[in-house]
Amino acid sequence: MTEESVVARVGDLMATLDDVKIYREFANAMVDFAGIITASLVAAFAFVILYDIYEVVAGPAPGTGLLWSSLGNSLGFLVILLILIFGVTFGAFWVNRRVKRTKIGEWQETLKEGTPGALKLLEETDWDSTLHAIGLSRVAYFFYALTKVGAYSILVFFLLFFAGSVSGIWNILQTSSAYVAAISITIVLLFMWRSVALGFRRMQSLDLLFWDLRWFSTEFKRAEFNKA
Amino acid sequence: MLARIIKTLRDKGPASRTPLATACGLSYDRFVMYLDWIIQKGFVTLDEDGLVHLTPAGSKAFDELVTWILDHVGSLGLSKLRESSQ
Repeated sequence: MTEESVVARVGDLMATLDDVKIYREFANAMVDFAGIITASLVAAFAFVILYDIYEVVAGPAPGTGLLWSSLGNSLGFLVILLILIFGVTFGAFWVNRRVKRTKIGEWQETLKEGTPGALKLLEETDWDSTLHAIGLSRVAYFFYALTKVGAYSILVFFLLFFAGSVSGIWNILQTSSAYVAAISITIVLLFMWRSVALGFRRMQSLDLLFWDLRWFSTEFKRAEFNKA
Repeated sequence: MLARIIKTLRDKGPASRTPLATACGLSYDRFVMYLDWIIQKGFVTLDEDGLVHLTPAGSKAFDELVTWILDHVGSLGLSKLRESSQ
């Protein structure tokens, strides 16, 4: 039992708390992500409405009808797809950017002092805020997985609808939009299965960490040396 | 801070107050305040030459602190989260 072990173990703990900091930033970035996805959906629908208003006022171009009712308008659907793809990509980029800007490893200098540094770090940690951040991160991961599956499903839905309408498959198969939506979600879940499973594993680990740290913070506050 | 004073005494041996305060990164006034408290606790003693000595009780308290951190931080399941992050 040496001081080196104390430094190593507290270093592990601080690295984990850095992860929690990243998750907290991730949770905050999720609000932006939801906003970006909503804005791109609103922009896509606004485009549909404006296009239809234009068609009503100016009269439809030969061979086309209203965008919403006539799925054969390839240019209009490409624009909607591009808006949605841009929304999801920009949203993911924004989340990444915020997460990468999180300040971590600031504790390393203090830990070089050995046990006193380790104790100082433990004393200075805001345990209540850390526990709150873990709780928030669990919700954020669930919400992120849900939003990602939802956003990709909408994209696949539009792609399938577009491809099926152009090729005329939907007319032959007589499928409803609900059926296409179910196929879209299944395709997305199949492709994102690993990512979804990893998200659930991380949520479970965060759950365990929450209870571990809750126990540790209580013990730390109760410790004899801390009362002095 | 008290851990820092005890560790400095353990590493460097008995020392007079001013160099000890400097080694601990404390102003002299604050150092004296902490020193009075750990003398009362019996963790250190002050001899006639003004040297501060670590007592066996002080050394034991420091060992107990190290053991506490090792036991408690060591029993946290940190590896699970780190594995799921990779």
